Parts: sequence; structure tokens; C-alpha cells
Amino acid sequence: MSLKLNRAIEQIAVETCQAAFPEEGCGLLIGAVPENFDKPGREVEVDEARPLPNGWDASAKTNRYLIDPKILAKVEAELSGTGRGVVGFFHSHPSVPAWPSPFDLTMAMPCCSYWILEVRDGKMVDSRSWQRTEDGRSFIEEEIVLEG
Amino acid sequence: MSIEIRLPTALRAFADKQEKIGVDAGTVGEALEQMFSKHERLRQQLMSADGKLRSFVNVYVNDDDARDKQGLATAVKDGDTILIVPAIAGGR
Repeated sequence: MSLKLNRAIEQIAVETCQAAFPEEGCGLLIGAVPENFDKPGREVEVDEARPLPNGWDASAKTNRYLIDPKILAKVEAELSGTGRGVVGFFHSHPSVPAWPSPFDLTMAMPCCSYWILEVRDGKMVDSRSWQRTEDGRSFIEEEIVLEG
Repeated sequence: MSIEIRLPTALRAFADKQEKIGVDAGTVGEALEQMFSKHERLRQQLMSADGKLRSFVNVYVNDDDARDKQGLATAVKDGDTILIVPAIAGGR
């Protein structure tokens, strides 16, 4: 099970999350939808990271993020029929480890990669990626494969 | 089929990889039930144990949020599109 991306895509997510500090940054991970997307062991290969505004209420953006469903719907429509799709999401955890929180689990969708970037003092210091189990009870960490 | 349900990427694996599913129904709830009858694994992803839409699941009828109407009882008619969009959220 892995999340594969190149360094240019990584840099887009890192810069987004560093710029958002001390608030949470977020965005979409887009790529070809794997045949076995719902299976443990599947490999997601991202060809685009698309930063989006953190849509959560201004008072809690330091510990919450929200991607506007209407923006997500537009992107899904744009990708319809192309074989590409929204295969994951990235967001930052300012000043805390890149482990999913209980709230992350409550809100997570299946199949997708949830790439969490730990940002401290405005710099990304660690990142980890996770896939929610189909039953919604836990996350499983996946390998991040960086190319290029 | 007269009503089209559109699924997000994250859920298509539970519907034989289909993006769009056609149903005949009079309400959003009936449409979803028809979809579940063909693709049962979607039920757990979209509905809570008490039969309500999970909090992070948004359902739009054309451009209107079903929660702003009558929820699962919202009427649908021929040619309508039901769009299922997850609210992607979380945080530390």
C-alpha cells in the first residue's frame, strides 16, 4: 500500500502547508484511479496536487480544515470520464505529529490516501500517509514513495 | 433510467467503478435505496446505523442541498441528478 508522487508535487503540498502555518493547509491529490482502489495494498500514483482554501470557520483553522464540497464537486465533474479522479487529500497538522486524529477518522472516506504533513515553526518536519479501513474503524499507514 | 446518481471517486470502487448510476424513484431516499439494492457496500459508507445520512455526506439534487429541503424525503423527478459529495474535513 503506497502513495507515489514526485518531488514537484510534494513541494506544492509542503509550500501550501508551510504558508498556512499556524493554520491548517489542505488540498486535493489527483491521479489515475487504481483498479483495486478499495483494496488494502493498492498503490495510488498522484499526478497533481491542487491546494484549496481551508474552508473551516476562521476561529478554528489552527486545528481544523474543511474542503468546500461545492469545489470538490466541480473538480469531480472536471475529471469525469477521464480515468483520473480525486484519489486523496493532504492537510497539515501544525505543531503536532502527522498521525490522524479521532476527528480525522470520523470524517475520512474509504480508499483515498490521507497525507498529513507535520509543520512546526512554519517548516514541514515530517509527513505520513494513511488509508482508512473499509469499516471506518481505523487508519493504516501507507508508504510514501517519492520519485524524481 | 430517469434519475442519475453521481458518485465521488472515493466511492466508485463500491459500485463496480461506475461514476453514474441510473434509478427510478420519487424521493432521494428511494433513489439511494435502489442504488444500495445493487451496490450494498455503499450503504455502510453513506448511512449511519439509524438509517440517516452520515454527517459528512452531502447530497445535492441538481444544485440544491437536500438537507435544506426535506432530506431523504426530498422529491425527485425525471431528469434530476443526485450528486453525492463528501465533506472532506479533519484536523489535529
